[in-house]
Amino acid sequence: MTAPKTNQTYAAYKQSLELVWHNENTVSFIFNVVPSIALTDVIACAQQYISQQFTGAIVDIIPAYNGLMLVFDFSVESPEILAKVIFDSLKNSALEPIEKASKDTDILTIPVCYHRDMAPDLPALASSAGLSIDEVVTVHSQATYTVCALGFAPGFPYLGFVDARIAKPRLATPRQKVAAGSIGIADNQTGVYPSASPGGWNIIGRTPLVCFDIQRPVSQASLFSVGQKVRFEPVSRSDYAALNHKYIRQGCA
Amino acid sequence: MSGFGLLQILKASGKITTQDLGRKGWLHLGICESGAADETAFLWANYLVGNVSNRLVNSTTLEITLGQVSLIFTAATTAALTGANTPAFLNDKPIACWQSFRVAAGDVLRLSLPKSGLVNYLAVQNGFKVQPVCGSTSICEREGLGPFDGRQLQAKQCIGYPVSTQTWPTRCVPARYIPEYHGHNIPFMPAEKVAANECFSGAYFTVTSATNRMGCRLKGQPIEWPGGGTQCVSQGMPYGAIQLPPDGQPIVLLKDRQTMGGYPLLGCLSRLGCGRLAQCRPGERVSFAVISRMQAIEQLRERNAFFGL
Repeated sequence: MTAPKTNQTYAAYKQSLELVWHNENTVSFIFNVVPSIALTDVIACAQQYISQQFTGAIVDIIPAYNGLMLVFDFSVESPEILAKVIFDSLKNSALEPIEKASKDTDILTIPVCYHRDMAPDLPALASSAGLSIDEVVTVHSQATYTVCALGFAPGFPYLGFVDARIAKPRLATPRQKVAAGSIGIADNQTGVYPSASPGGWNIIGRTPLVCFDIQRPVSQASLFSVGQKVRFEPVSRSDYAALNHKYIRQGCA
Repeated sequence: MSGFGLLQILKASGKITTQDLGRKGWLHLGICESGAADETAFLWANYLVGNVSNRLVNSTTLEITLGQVSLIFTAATTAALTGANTPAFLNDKPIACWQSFRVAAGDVLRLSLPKSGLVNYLAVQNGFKVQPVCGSTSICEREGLGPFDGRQLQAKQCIGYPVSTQTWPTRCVPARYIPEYHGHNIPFMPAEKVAANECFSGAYFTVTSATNRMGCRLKGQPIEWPGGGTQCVSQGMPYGAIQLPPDGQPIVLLKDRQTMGGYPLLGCLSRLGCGRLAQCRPGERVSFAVISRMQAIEQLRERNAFFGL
């Protein structure tokens, strides 16, 4: 369940904000509260706000579960003052656009084939959950998820949060190779492997979409960004094949 | 510009990768930064061959780890070697590090094992020409990113460089700027409110063999994290971050680090400190000394101003 987005919630977030310096030009803004979807919405909008307002001064922003890490350009004369200005604006005015933007977000629909050939861990997950395979598919595809972070591998989205009934710890021994497009579950998160890689998540399906392509410009390279709302839509094997044909993968086996 | 030369790898017992200053603006997608492990040595190499303009200061170089390579030039150019104290030979005649030199078509450059330090940079006038990936020509083997399919260069492979009609005069780095690589008192900025960083600054560590471009794994008296729990919520990982995993053996994250991590941080090496640590070899003893952020900024600024960064 998403925490109700009340003004009190935002006030508590603002109150908890901390500025943490790492090195010469790297600083984190950490919200000292328990991570939640509501917090992710705030962080996503803070990311947007900072990248729009401070273009040129900031080289990189890494949003994550409880805050953002910023890397300043070497040319910034006073990193100390810049950090303070950003900190103050997050504490005050910058939360206005956050509240507006977090209300209406487009949902990204990801077609998924849950057929057993593409879902090696689905039977085991269903049996440990005490559900049928169809029930697991229904539970997984009925929820709306939020991208809480991107990492582990280029373009890998951590989506929060799956229904407690289908949550399952990572495999005891990770697979040598997980196919590109694989949909996994690890604890209460679900994710999409953008390219073939080793991995320990429970694989329950596969999407034909090319979720990440470094040949595209940075703004279009990834289907996912932190704060993005995502749904999974079950598709048949033949639909998967048709879509896979349409979205020809680049550089993936 | 007139024409194009090729450098062919004849032998690569050490590791060769192309490196520039790394990727900017991709970390939020989980793309690793990469870039020259020892930035200062990289910048000097380009400086020595005249790659000093705004556009050229970030020219692609070869990063050679642990020497033991042999390379042949197919066209004349000006080249320079910086970094580790490595015996080097041009057509079997010894040449010194930290200076630029003319090469003619057919010249063979050979590097033996470094006497101290770990990585060397080979720069050529106008830089090596390879296709950038995500805005950088740095190879990140861990992700398979960059030119040459993101893999280290192998014998028989070639890399191109433009040949200039205007010859850049050779020059050398003044002796006082040539670093003596050692691992004592590498500067770091302690994290605020973390008492355990006192254990870090007072101790000696050994660089383990599990060290690579991603991070430097240290071994020493285990450091106990005060307050029990050693897992945090995953968050962005800065360059030089000193991670403390549950076994109490710190890991310093370097250029090929993952973008996010969940271990608590004792602090962060300064940027110049990272370059120094990257020159330390497995088995070497290292220690760390506190530097204030202001001092670190001052030192970095001085270096960047010199190189026009």
